Amino acid sequence: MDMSQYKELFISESREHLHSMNELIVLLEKEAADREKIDSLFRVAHSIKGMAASMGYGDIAELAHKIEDLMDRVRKGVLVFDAGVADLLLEGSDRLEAMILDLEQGGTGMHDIAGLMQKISGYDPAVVCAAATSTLPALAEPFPPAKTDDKQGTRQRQAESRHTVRVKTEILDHLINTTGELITNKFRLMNVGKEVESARLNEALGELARLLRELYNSVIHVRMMPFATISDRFPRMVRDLAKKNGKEVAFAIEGDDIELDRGILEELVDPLIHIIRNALDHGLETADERLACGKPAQGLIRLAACREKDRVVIVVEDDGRGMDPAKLLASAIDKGFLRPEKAGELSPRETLLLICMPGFSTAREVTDVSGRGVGMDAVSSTIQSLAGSLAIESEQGRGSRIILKLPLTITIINVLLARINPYSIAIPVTNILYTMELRRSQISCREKQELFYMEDEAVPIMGLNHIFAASAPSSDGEFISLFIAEVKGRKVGFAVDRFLGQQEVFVKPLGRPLAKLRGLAGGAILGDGEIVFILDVANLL
Amino acid sequence: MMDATNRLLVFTLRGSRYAITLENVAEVMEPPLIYPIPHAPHFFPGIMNFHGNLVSVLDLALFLSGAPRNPQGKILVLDARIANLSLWVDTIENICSTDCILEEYESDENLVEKLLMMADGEVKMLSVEKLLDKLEEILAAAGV
Repeated sequence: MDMSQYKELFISESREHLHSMNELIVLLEKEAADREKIDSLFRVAHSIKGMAASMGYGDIAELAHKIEDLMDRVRKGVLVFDAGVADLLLEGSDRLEAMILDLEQGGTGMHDIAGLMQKISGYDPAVVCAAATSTLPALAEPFPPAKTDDKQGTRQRQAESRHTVRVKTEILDHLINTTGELITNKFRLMNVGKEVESARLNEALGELARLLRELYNSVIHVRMMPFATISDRFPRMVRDLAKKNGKEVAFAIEGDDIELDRGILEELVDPLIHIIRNALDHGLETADERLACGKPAQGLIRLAACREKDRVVIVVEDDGRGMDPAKLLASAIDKGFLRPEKAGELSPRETLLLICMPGFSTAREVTDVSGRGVGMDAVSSTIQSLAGSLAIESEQGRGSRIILKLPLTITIINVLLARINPYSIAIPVTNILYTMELRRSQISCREKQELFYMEDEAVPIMGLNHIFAASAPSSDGEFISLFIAEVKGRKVGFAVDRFLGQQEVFVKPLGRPLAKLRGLAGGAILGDGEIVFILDVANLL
Repeated sequence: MMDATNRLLVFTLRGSRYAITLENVAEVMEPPLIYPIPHAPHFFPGIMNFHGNLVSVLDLALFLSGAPRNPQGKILVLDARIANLSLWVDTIENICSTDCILEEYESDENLVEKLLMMADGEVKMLSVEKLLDKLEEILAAAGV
């Protein structure tokens, strides 16, 4: 029988199992006697073995079998689930992942696994138990039987699977694209409706708009994936990094059931890796340092996601040494990012955001994320390109907190349309703090920079017509139209010719080569066919 | 039917003849309604709606030779797998097989891959990849 048609399914299902395997191993390291998790881990290995054997992937099946055997010994109480077992299992999981990747890339999935298999099957319980007694409580007797047996678990999973289907992500992308086009066409029809002035047409359009709203909500819902989709990988990463750095770290995840658009989730992986690594590498002290300053030896990193109205807030915090604003200022001056006389003008928030300036990261930080080329500037840029925001809070000796606020979805967004002759531009409403009509008499000038005061805060004014080299705005009116946005931790007022109103748009990529143009995040087609550009507010200055 | 990779689309630009592999072309069309692009260099007259996708329009004559485009020219839309770009050219001459190439020469023009000698004269083979690289380099520097 030709099994090649099932290869894709095998790869995707195996990856899910490996994901669970990694998660369970890290959890069991903390709670070695959790019988349910031990059984789950055994079942995961068993499932991979069975699937691989039926597909004829002998090496994968054999390695999974060895892992299953090892877990069986743990189940029977012959072995204690200690760091040695965890290391072996993680090594096995990594090797399985590599073999599956090889299969995906057209290879055979065959690796030299003899050494690893030998290591797993030759694992000596006596040595392990002797070593384990010094760190873990000894188990007086084998684990009690699990509450749920294998058959029950299988039946439950089969029942669940009857209510779900696997859908390729391209189909989901196509669905959202078609819905976006329908919304664009709804606005086209509404424009026609205004010209025709037909009550019947308007009624039908009202109904169409209602149905489209329902469709949009359903499609968005389908695209939503839990935060766990990406957060599951972090416990393993933190464990490995902590071992490498010789630090004791407790890592907690909250809100992993919070849902976000899969497009946003994909973009969030690298920024979160960087932020968590920073917290572990630079934020947390070593156990000795912590004890010396009266803290528990074990440091804490918390990754939490929660819903806040139509946004998701993701927080990464640590209870480490915190950031020293004086050091940040000195470093910024030293590197030429800041004039010494300006240092005193920065608020504490702005000072902390200095770490997001391109090139601010030290060479060591760049080495730590070797190959990625991601610094806090790239993190900040990614978050802003997702129409989100980044804030930093830190207290010396107490720790730091990075707060990311993100929209639930990025494909269909609400924008404020504005005119900057000859362009129409769209500003994502999530980027706007306020809009206002400012009286010209309120504008003052300092060092050739126009500004106005908002509750004692000097807000610089930038003309978008100047930024985009458009026609000069008419200067005879008493008021100018402004929207206030936060750029690199500071409020900035952007002047436009006039506001045209708020609308929902379907964001389209600019693609090659126009995507290289800074300050533009994409484009959209309005109901009258006009193309507007969506501002990338974070990169306007 | 002949494979598109073996066929060339020949077009003219200010008296010169250029060729592009047919497989890189999605469509040839009349100049569409275009909208200006903020802060783009002047050889980008605008952007158009091409079957629901945003495609920038490059005035190839202006870009390559500094001469203004022919208002009655044609728009050569590149395949979406390569770029969201279309080229405003003077005229479309023909589609020919690569078998019609009599000889090939090296070219010292940056964006010309090679010079093709055909029975009816010389044709410059445009390097789409080099063109895109060059445009991206210019746009990255031109941004706000």
